[in-house]
Amino acid sequence: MKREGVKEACLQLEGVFSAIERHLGHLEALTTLLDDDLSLMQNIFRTTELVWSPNIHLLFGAIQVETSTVVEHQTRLKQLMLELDIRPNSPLIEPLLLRFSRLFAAHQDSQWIEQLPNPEFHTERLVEGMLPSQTRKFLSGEAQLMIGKFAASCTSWPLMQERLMGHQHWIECIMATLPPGHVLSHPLVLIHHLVGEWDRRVREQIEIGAAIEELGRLQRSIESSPGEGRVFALERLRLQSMVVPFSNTMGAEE
Amino acid sequence: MFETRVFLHRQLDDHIEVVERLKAVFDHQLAPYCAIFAERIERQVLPVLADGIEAATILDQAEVRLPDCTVQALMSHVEAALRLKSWKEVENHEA
Repeated sequence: MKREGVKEACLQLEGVFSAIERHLGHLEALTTLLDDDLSLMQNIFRTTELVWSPNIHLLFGAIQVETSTVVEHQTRLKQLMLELDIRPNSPLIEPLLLRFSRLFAAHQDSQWIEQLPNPEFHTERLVEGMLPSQTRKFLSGEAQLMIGKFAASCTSWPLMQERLMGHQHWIECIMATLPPGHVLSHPLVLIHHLVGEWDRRVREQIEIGAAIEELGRLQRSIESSPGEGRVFALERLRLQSMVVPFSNTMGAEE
Repeated sequence: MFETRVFLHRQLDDHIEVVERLKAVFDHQLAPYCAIFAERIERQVLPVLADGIEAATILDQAEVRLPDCTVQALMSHVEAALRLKSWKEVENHEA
């Protein structure tokens, strides 16, 4: 009876680990898309001021660490299940059960929290290789839809701004569901700060474009101006000097 | 900004009127000085007021948010125009 219970728990954990592995894959896909967008912008702005690659590498590294931990858990779990099937009295079973006791307890906790009325108000156990249920919920649902939306290529500043808003959204959603101290938290905070700074630059470009058009419209609408359009011309020139044309030709110029 | 624009328009009209009055002086002793004074007003005062009005118009009527640097530049035009003394102040000072 006890053996049956352990096997059932192992099967549950197996399902959880394969789901977490898939979810980490989705997170990696989102990070890759963010990496592409940031490198495109660095190419357009021709600046090395906002260094994004170390932070992205930190996030990729954290995802790799989590994935490898999950893969290790899966391997050990398979070993445990095999031992239970073939050698029920093996001395390996007890240590392996001990290894999975915390993970199983965390899984049980998550299941219990998910059934509560406001699951987002409860903190789940911070166990290596496990993702909180709310993070998994986001990565298995909304994140996949977002990956699909990011697939289209970006051709203008307004589109880039929408993409950055999307990136900020997924980063904030994951950050909000991860407990402080989780291996993914710190790189996500750094990336969030960086994306915010790029977003400010993109908004500035959109603002400049709109201001140039508005100055032209105003000048046309005013029949006679005492300044003979000096201020209009001066400000338009100043704004035009600040325009960075959007060109999605990454790698083509090199 | 609308009140500022109205005020600057009044200032501009006052100065144009003064220029016309100065140009209408034909006294052979005063006329050269009046011409120099009128030319100075035309070259140094009227453009500042005109630019100030134009900048205030842009700030007043723009329907999109202008970049901070543009707003600052336009405000500096308006402030330069506002810093100029009104013709009445000059007259009172001279009196």
